[in-house]
Amino acid sequence: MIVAERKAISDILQMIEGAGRVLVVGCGTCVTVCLAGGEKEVAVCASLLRLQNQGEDRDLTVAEATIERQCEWEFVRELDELVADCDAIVSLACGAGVQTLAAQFEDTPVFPGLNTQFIGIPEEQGVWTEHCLACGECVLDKTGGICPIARCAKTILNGPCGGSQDGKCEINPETDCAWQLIFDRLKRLGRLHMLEEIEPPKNWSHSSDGGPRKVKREDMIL
Amino acid sequence: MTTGELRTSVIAFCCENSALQAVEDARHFGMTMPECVQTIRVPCAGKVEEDHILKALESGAAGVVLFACHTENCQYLQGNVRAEKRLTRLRGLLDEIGYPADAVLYASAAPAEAARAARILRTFADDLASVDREEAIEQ
Amino acid sequence: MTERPTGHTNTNSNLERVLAAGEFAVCGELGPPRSADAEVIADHARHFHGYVDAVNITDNQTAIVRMSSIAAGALLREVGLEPVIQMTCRDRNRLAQQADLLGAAAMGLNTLLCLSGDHQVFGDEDTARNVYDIDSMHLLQMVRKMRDDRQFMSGTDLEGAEPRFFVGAAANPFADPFEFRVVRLAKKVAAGAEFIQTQAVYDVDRFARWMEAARDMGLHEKVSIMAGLVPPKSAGALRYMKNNVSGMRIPEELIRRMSGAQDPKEEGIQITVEIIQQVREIEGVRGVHIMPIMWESALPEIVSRAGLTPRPDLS
Repeated sequence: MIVAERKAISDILQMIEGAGRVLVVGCGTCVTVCLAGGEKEVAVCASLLRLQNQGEDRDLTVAEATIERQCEWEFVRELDELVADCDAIVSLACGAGVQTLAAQFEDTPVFPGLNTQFIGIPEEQGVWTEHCLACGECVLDKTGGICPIARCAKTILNGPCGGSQDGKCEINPETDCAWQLIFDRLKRLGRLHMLEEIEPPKNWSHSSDGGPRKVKREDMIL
Repeated sequence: MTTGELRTSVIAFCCENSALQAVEDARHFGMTMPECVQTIRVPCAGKVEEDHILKALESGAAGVVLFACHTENCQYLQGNVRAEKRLTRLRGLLDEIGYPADAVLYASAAPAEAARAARILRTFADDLASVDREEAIEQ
Repeated sequence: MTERPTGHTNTNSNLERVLAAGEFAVCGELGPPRSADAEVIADHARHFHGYVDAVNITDNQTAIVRMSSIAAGALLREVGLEPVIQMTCRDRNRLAQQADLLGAAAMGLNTLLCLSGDHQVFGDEDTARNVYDIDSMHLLQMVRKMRDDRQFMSGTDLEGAEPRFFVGAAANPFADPFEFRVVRLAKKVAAGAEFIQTQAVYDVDRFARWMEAARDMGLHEKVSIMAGLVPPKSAGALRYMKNNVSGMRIPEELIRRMSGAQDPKEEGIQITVEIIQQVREIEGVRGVHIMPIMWESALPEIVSRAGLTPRPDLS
């Protein structure tokens, strides 16, 4: 899933300054699961904006809505009527959701209520960790299903570097050394010999370094 | 309820396995209680979400108490632990918007502790009513 | 992986000549200044004259901004010392690295150490974007390709003189997983490393075990392994390294010895000399790389007492 974290309310307040009717929009997919932008978080955000406005001179109304997915047009269009009644939208979705709203509602400013963090998984309840960097050319077949691009601080393809100690990464004792995990996993699978080969340099043109990416399925294009 | 009454009103989310009984008994036995306490029965303090408490504040309550079971006495094992953590987080959020975080309180009481429950509510209501706090909200 | 015949050299590197002549090599290390002061290089360099075969010049070591290793190396060369230019993969992509390799070679620099580089979170520019376009293994391959095949990484031919670097890599016998450390060394040799400088040796037993594993794979004959040494200044310095530098192993006994010493600096020099003598006994160790962090003045004493003077003049 895409994991996100809420922005500071003060940042959101700054963004919506001058707006009288604000619509806070949640997303029912990834950010609901990671407790950053679902229906509950929308309710909390909206409440906080209203509470903050108590005792202020300005008239502020805050409406709430949560749709199934903010990154798909058919769901975003459900907001047509609500958006018609507001001067600003705070989107509690990942960056893709924010941009879908902005593209759909050209005349209404759309502000991000979250900081999109990464593609990850829940490590345990309340803890999420990064697992994929969307590099565009998956190497998990060679690394025992553990990604050195997303999980090694130096994105090293021929690790572990000299900073691996007791299974941890030198940059943070809470972070597992991805290459120790890779080593352990391949050992368990009896495939350690795979690490004897030098993995060639990565072709970063498949990642964001190659410019904004596009995926096409010709048979689906009408 | 007039606005003046609301200022001193307290909404208490009470766990039905413990604090609710204590608060009801305190009333029943005529113990000194703040006048405007509204209790809301909940199956577990851990069931109360941040938005419930915020809605209570938005509706005009001067303060909200989240009344749970004592440590390690939760029927659902971790409900009170989660409730306390959630309240701590909520206080941080209130701080962020400059709203007095002491408007929300986590407390615990056993079913038989009517006097304790009454005392907690009295102290909380007194604190809320103090002049300094009124000013803080005005500002 | 082919064995090099004794005496044969590929470059004008003094370090290569010394190693090829079968001499026990000595490298020093110098951190460039955090300023544009050229004189600082000459000032620090005075401790090294006559005591080392080459001096490593760090590349934004511990991710702290310093004068570039190539510029500092060129300044060091002006005062008659041979720099080992350190190049990390942290701050530059393959374009910048190749450009700098051409520039460094054009300025007469001819010894290179290829590193991943300390992560930028350790430094004072911890909000920087890191690069790590390629890793240290690829950097070795790239340098060798430019030198031996006269081709850029892309496969395009160079249009003139190739950069001729005697090329080395780092190895850390003290990091984990231990059983993979020698395999990784073999990969670096396969990638083109001609000399190896290790992380600081304090745990001689572990270093000896690592060397034994390297010998089992015949690596000691394919690459010149130099043991790294950081002269300890105090027990506190050792403890700091033990607790804060990942991939360091420092026996408690050594810390006790330092804290019990009446003159810690003298003890630090003595310990370093002893470690040099111990690693010299290990088959396959071809030299030492002394890193006197902020304590260059200790180097002449260490090298002399270890019996490593005079340095061979093979120019």
